[in-house]
Amino acid sequence: MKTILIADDDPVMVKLLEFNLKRAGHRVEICREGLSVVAKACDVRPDLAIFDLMLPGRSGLELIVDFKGDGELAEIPIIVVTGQGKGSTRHELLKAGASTVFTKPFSPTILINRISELLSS
Amino acid sequence: MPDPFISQETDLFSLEPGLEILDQEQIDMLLEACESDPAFMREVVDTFRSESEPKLKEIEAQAAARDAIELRRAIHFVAGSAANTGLLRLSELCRRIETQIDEGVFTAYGPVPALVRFEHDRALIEVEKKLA
Repeated sequence: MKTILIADDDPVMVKLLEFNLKRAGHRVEICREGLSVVAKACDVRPDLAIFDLMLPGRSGLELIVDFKGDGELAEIPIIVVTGQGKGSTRHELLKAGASTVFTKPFSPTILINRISELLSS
Repeated sequence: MPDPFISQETDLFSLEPGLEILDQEQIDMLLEACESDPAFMREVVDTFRSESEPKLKEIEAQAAARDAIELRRAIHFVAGSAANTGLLRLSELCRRIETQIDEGVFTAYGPVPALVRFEHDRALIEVEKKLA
């Protein structure tokens, strides 16, 4: 069983992700705002993190920088979900260290498959 | 004769009158991901309903205050949540409002709350029909 940390303020998104991740056999931890994410990650040691780009308190991009600058969190694969389909945003996120960027709406099945790939690599 | 709200959406945000209310592809995808479990889909829709209602009130308040930054924040939330729930027209309307705010050309503080409410309410009616 792997632990996935979800940081997203949209309860619909959280519900969808939680349902599908638990069904795939993962343990899920949730933050509804950005300020508590690093502390939560240090506490639960996730195997993978999913950030909303427009998270209140601290954005998905800022969180990537936080994780990559922290010796204990730097290796955790990060998926970012965003409502902005702009190529420049995607490029910026990938450059900062995101493993994958998904633009909303997206297929939960495709996301779960990508998570499985990242966890097994 | 087109609904006056739809005419306003076209005039103010170039939203095509024929754009579907629901994103059938997204709804099918959700049902598939939920193993066609209508009970879970109902939970998703109910979650959207309960979370979007306070956001609509916020949109009303921020539009009245002509606060573009806070209005955008509430609109962005509805746009993303609606897209995830398969409420295409509502999501697209909100995206276009966001774009106008980002580009500094947004002036429709007056009509926006009623337009978002209009699309929100009819999207929920349509999605309820799908779940019935």
